[in-house]
Amino acid sequence: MMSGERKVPVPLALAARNILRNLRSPMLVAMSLLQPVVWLVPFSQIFRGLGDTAQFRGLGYGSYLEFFVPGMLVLSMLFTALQSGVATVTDIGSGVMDKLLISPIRSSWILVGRVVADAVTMRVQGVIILGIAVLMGARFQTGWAGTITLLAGAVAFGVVWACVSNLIALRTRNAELTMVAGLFLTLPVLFLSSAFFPKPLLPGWPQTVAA
Amino acid sequence: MNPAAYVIDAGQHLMSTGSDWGQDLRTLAAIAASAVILIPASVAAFQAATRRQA
Repeated sequence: MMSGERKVPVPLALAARNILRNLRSPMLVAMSLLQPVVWLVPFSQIFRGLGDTAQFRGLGYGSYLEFFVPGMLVLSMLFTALQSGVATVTDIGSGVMDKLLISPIRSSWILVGRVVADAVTMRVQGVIILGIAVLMGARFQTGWAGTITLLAGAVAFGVVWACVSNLIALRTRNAELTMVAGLFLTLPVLFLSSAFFPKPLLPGWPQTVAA
Repeated sequence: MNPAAYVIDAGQHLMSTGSDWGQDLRTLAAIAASAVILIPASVAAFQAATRRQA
C-alpha cells in the first residue's frame, strides 16, 4: 500500500458498493425517492377531513398531515427494509456473494455493509418526506431536536426490520418469496398501529395491539 | 406489543403534542428488544447460508 493511501473500513466500503449499485439504476433511485412522496400527498389529502373533526382535534394533533408524517416515515423505512432482503438474494443469485465470501474479509461485514447502505437510503428518504411535509404546511412542535429524534427512531426501526427481510431472504433464497413474506409481516405491523388512525379512536383489539 | 406502534406513537408526540419522556423510553426499549432478537437471528442465518455456500 502507498504511504498516503487511506484505508476505508470494510463495512463502509461494502455499503458504498451497495449504494453505488443502486445509483446505477436511475429508475430504482427515482422510484425509491418518489414512492414516499406519492404516498404522503394523497394519503394526507384523502384523510384531511378526519383532521378537522372535534374528536381528532381533542387529541392534540394539529392536522392530519402532522399526525400522518411519523406513520409515513415508518412505512417508508419498512418498505426500504423489505428491499434489503431482495438485494441479498440478488447478490447470492448473481455470484457477487461468492466473490465477497472468498475475499479476505469477515463474512458478517457483508451483512453489516448491506444494512449500513439501507440506513443511508432510509435517512435520505426520511429527509425528503420531512421536507415535503414542511412544504405542505406541517410544523414540528419539538423543533429540530424532535425532528432528528423522530428520523433517528424511524431509521433505527427500519434497520431492525431490514434484518427480518434478510432473515427471510437467507432462509428462502427466493426474491419473490422474500417480498411476499415481508409484506405479509409488514402490513399488519403498520395497520395495527396508529399510523393512519389515532389510537384512542381504534376499535377494541387493534387498540390493544397498537398500545 | 407492536414495536412499530411505539415508534409511530413517539413520532406523533414529537410532531404534535411535545416530547413525552415515558413514551420515548418505551420506544427505545421496543427498538432495543426487537434488535436483540432480530439482529443475532439474521447474523446466524447469514452465517448458516454462507457456510453452505462457501
